[in-house]
Amino acid sequence: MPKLSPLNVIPLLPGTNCGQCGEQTCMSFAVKLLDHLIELKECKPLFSEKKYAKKLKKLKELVTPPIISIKIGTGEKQISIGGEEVLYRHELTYYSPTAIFVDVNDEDLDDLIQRTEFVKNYDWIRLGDRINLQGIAVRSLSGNPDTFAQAVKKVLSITDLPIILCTLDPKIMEAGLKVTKNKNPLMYTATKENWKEMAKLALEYDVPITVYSTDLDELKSLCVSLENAGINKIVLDPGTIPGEGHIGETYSRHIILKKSAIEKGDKSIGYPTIGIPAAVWMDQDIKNLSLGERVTLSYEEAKLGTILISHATNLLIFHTAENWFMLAIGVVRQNIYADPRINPAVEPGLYEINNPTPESPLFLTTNYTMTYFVVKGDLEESRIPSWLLVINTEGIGVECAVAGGDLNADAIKEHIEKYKVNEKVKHHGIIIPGLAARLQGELEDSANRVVIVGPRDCGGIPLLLEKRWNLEKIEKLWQEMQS
Amino acid sequence: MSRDPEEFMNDLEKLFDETGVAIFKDIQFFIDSLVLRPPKAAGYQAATMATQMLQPIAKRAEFIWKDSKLATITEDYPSEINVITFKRKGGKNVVIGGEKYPPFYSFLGKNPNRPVVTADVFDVPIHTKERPSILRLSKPVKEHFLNPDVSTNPGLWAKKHVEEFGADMITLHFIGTDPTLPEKEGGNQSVRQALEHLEQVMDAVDVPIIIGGSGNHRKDVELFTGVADMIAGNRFMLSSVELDTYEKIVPVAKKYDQIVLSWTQLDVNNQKKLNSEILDMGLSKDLIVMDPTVGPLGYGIEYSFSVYERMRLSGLKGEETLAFPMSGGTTNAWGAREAFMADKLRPEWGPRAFRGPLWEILTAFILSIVGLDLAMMLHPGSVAGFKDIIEKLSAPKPSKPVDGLKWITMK
Repeated sequence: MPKLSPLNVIPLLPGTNCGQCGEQTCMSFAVKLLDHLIELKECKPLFSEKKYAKKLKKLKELVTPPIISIKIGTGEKQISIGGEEVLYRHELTYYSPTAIFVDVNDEDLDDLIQRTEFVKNYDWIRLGDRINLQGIAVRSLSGNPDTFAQAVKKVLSITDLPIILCTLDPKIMEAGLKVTKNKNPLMYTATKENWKEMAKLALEYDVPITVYSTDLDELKSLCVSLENAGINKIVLDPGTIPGEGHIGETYSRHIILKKSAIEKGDKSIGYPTIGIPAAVWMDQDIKNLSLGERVTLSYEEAKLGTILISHATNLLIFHTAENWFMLAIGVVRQNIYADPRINPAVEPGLYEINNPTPESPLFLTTNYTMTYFVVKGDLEESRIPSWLLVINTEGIGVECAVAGGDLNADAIKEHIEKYKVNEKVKHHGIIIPGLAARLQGELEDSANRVVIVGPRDCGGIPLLLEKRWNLEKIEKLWQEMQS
Repeated sequence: MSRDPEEFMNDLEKLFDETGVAIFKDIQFFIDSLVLRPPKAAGYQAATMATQMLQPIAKRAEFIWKDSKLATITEDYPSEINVITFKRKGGKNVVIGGEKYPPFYSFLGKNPNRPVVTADVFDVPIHTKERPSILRLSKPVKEHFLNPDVSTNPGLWAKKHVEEFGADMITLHFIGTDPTLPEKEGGNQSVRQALEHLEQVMDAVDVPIIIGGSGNHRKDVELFTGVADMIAGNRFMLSSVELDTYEKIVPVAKKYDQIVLSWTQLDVNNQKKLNSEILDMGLSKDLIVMDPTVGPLGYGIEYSFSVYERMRLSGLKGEETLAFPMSGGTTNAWGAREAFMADKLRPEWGPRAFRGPLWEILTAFILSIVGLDLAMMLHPGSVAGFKDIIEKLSAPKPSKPVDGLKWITMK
């Protein structure tokens, strides 16, 4: 499908440049609409005036993404998955970050409680973004509807996170649906064998439903059959199969689905996708594995998760519920879903941290967002009042900026002058990153300051200050430099 | 209402008032078939009404299998990525490039060569308390090379990488040749010393070698010129040439038939410019590999990811200045604090022994999905973990189907 241009949108807008949306012209509204920076409903006349009804209808169709959004769960924790418009993130950006679920089974309640608590409590901030998990996938291992319903109830008693009900048996599914009434769980899964019974439940309980097949024609047939029965809240599982050869096929199936929906415009499979990296554990005697075997399987699971996140699979179910594992998966997701349209640079300048005085230490770093956030975070955390001089390296980190020449003694000198460092910082010291150590000599000459080479990682700053930050000594050295 | 027919009729009956009338508003019935018997109290009229009302809605929920076919994806990638062969006289060759499709798009066809690993070796020993050195490696990495200490001899170090850890190639980083680094910590080495180190590595392993400069432009030119005679007859790679240095280094590569690594920093236009300048100087296109810079996982990998992806797709679509295999310093992953930070400083991150190697694997792996052909790696566990997933991804389609739903009932 060709990418939309504002010229496709303009004829469908009122064209009066009324400004009610906050934009000066309809043209700039069109541009922002396509970049998802403004919502259609902000164009008030389009909705309030009858003469625009036809245009509105067309416009709604035009801006409906090729992969529709599906909501799972209710209330504050509700998630919305899908909504992509591109296969490659550089063409625009990916919108709704891959939802991360963890599985539990209905036979081991202690394990279920422990894993549910893990998911509920995994929530932290990394470089300004929240890293958390989205829900619980409850598997029917017992094969008993009552046992399943009890397990689902137990999960509900711990958390209001969204739930996926996993069973191929419609009777068990219904037991789960009964106890999750009004919670909008995702059904997993309809197959060619059980689809009629599952479809009836999806209609009766008005919940989203997954369809599964590794045969993509069959998967599409399932979608079309469900659509024909009046169901349109569908999630696609083309199968996640670990092991030699299978992983390549798994990735290919996911890419084919996205390509068919996004690039070929096939609306009948224009639904979000689900992947199951947890499947790496499926032929294992999980309870009797050694630590080494477990870590190897977790690594395989992480790699499977990574390849699926890389091209925007919308929901993943994992089995490994451990900090070191979710750290990696959470960061992969954070990075892939970072908006490529946003410049990775912060404003250069002299930043004040923890209310510094003219005697507080002066640090230096580059204006690459990540570098800046890490240094600032560490300084704040350590409660050290300090000055942070941020050099414009066009958003490049210290090591590369030194190698590439963007971070050099002359550039630093210019920043010292431009941001009036000598008026605010009354001593003559400056601490540079360990990775910029080779600038020391030149910088002492050009900036006329005593240069202290800091640690390679800013985590070592408190130790450096304790051992090597001595104003008297610095001033003495500076006096010597002057003669 | 209940789905049991008997109960359903009873429920239905309760809805009718004394006159036998019930008003249905905003309701839907989804049923397969409907058998009506005269209700006990409300009479025949009501039953007829109910039937009439139910019919159109019941019709809506049709459960009929609709056989459909997904259109086959055919995509035209008119160009191919150039094939690069690293040659080792009397030893092993390594081939990268030659891709016809985006990585791992097995539904379109198979690419001829899979990504390979070149392992890092340095010309200075690893820093320890007793032995100050410019080479500081994080603990989970260095422990693999300090016991016994192979870092004092690049040859032994290279041998360990190749024979024990399965590296396909060796990168010998001459970081010690930087004249601005202190001599007592291994810096300011002469080209003569560099030649000795290179000889040690060449004697120890029979794989192709990448000559890694120190980043000091003037000294790198000296170094590459200096080693040229010793490596002539092999086809190694000079790492790297930049916009500032290519004019001096490309003639050396041309004369001695060596590959150059064309390095830019996350900038597609600069990469195109540098590559076309190199081509204009007459270096053959099968002697160029490019490195658009690796930002590690957590610290800018998204920029690398998209630059690699854009460059590979352009190369396949006919952009000749980008149709080169790509290398990447995925070792940079160890610069991420999530990889190296000690357990006691970040207990909430879990054991470093697990998160460290995984960080390097995922950094290399996610880039290989978008075009990385040559991963420069360091930790033996990472090398193994990366090679394992590449092998599994590249393996042919298995003939035996696997039930992908078994995970629901795994114990």
